Amino acid sequence: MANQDETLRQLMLAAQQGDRHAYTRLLGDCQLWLRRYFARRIPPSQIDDLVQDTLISLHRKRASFDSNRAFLPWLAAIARYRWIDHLRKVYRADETDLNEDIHAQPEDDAIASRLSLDTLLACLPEKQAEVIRLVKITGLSIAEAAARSGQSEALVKVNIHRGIKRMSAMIEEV
Amino acid sequence: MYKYARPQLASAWRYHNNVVNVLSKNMTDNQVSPAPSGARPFDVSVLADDIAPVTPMRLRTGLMLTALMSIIATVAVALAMGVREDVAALSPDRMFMIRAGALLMIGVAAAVAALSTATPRIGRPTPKAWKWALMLAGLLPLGALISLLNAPSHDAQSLQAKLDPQYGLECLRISALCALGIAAVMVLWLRRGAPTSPERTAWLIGLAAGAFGASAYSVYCPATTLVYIGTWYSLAVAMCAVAGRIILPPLLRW
Repeated sequence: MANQDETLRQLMLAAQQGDRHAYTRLLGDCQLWLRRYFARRIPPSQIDDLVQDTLISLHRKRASFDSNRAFLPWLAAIARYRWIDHLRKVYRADETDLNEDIHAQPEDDAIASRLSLDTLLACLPEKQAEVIRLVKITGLSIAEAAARSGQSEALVKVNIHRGIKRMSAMIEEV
Repeated sequence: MYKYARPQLASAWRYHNNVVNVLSKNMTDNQVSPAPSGARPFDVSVLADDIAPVTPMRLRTGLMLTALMSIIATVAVALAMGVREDVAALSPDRMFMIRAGALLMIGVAAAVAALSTATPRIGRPTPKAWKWALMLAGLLPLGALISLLNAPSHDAQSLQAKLDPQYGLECLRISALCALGIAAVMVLWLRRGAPTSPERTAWLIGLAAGAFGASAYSVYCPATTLVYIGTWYSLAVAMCAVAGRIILPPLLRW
């Protein structure tokens, strides 16, 4: 995952210097990544248009990529902006209904490496991180987690609730 | 496992489960799914043909341009209106130092936060120092309010003497004019970038430009009372921030 990001980062650096070959390869990889990214967010019939819009944005805003940072979090920020813009346009135009068949795929792999659970959990208070690990990752019940952590069952629930809320906010924050 | 008594908590719990499941899955799954059959991928060679070298954006460049414009605004105020005597004599009054320090602190913190949105990435929070700077600088209007409430007399004449509206309105006018130039530079630079929350960036530009604009005017402003500074300077910064939020988002969208 980290290797994929590093490869894309190197391609982007070359693209920023005007390397056409590297840019073509980068755009091809980004196209695949974006297709997967949008697959669970919009109806399949709209994916092509949104991928195209996002690639054009990537092209226009390529100077905004900071070469000292990872590539996929940048691409994800561009994609999310285009996606929100797309939703706004769709709702304004009232052209489509919400599609219940939007399907999820195991994707966004390398972006997850930047947003890994460990990284996120490290940002939480220890008690919240501990019960999230015990219940959501190890798979213990609330009662078992309470016994293991020394927290009451109610506190375990509250700490999971607060911890995951905080993690969600960290993911959403750009 | 267990049940929540209220449906909204149950819904929140399901959402939490989804977040963790997606993250967990993403960490372990590295499959690459092909494009759906029948899909016509966008011809990327159209974009590749248009490739040209670009200079990557750097936060320090944006900050330097903003600082340069702020200095130009300050020099313009000094040339057009003059400089306070204590500043000219290089022994500035304490209130001037506090005022200029608070304004520059807000300006720098807000400018860093605004300009850093040019290079977005998921998972990176916008710098929050501007909130602390704003809270600290908020002591000035708070002090002004307390000072007004504790004044021995509250009649209109003494209030007018303290607030000095003639200078106050000039403070608003000149600060806003300086802020306009500073905000213009920031917006022009940011338009090359990709701010993903134009509304938030617009607030921050207004706040930074307002603070720098007011600090430019402060080299001339002879007032040194807490009531005056806490009222008019706070108004100038707040007015610029609100104006930025209203006017700038369309210029920042891409």
